[in-house]
Amino acid sequence: MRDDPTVIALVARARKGDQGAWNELVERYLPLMWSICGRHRLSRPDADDVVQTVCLRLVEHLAVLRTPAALPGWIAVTTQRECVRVLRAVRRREVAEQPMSVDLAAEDEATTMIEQELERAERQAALRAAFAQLPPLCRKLLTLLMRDPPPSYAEIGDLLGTPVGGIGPTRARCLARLRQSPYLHGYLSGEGGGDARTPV
Amino acid sequence: MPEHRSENRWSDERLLDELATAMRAAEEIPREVVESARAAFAWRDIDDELARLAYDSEVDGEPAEALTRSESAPLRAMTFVCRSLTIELEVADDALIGQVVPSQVADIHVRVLSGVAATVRTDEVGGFAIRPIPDHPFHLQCRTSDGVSVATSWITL
Repeated sequence: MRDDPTVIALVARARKGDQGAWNELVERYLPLMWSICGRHRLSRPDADDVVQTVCLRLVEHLAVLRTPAALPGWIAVTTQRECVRVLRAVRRREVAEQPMSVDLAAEDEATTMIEQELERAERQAALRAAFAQLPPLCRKLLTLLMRDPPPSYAEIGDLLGTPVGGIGPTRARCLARLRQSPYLHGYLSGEGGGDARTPV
Repeated sequence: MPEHRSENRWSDERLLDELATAMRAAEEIPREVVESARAAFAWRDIDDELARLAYDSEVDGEPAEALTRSESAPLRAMTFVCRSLTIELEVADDALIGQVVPSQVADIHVRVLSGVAATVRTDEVGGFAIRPIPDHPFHLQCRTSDGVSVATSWITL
């Protein structure tokens, strides 16, 4: 998909044994693995197993990975396969003697699901990366505004020690800054996933 | 004019909403899952040659021929391949049945996340059995008599 220089650098460092780089890689892609597990409605212990297995494979895969840009796709496909495998094992346990007649999600359905999850995970990782680079005041303010339900401007003013009248403009300025982040280039239009429909 | 409308820009509300969803997606992952994902890194085996999963009956379909001539078909068959050797593995009801190819005597260590769970020696023709089936994930480390050390990728049953 996109050649993210951050990911390329993280892969290079992780290959040399840098645990910190590995942690960052894992944190970036765990939401992708987790949401694919969610799509398959795995139980919590099964999801834990899948993530653990994918991570162990990922460590091995880093050594032979040629194009870091292909990494998210590899993670998505590997996670999806592990989910299917776990589900089959679960079914086999449940339907002990019965031959498996019901097929799990059809191949093209799985491909569509993977594309959607990938697109979403990449967009969300970009948003988190862009957010992390905002000035502290912006991060504080936006974090408050993202609460559900969000506090009133009066409460925010109290919490941040800023006049209430300044909150609206600061919010607009922070979001404008977020928008300008190079991480988000190409992500902020359409319905999300609009350009992922490339026929193969 | 048209050039400004070509990009269907998100509103501030939409942007904040998407950001909130993105932050939540990362926050909702349980702490233990993050920890064990981080810990996976410590399991690199720099010195071992890695035998990759080349065939898995669960992914690639039924095995062409069963390794064991037993009446019941194996629950799962896998083949791990590297330059030095191939390890064939079958999951039976109560054991893992394996074969090192080319056939030779080797020590097989079963490694789980908490350490080495068991060690078995193959027979003269490279056959081995591991009982009971280890906790997963696990992997096998194979040391041949001429000093080659091979590790399979991690296996979850």
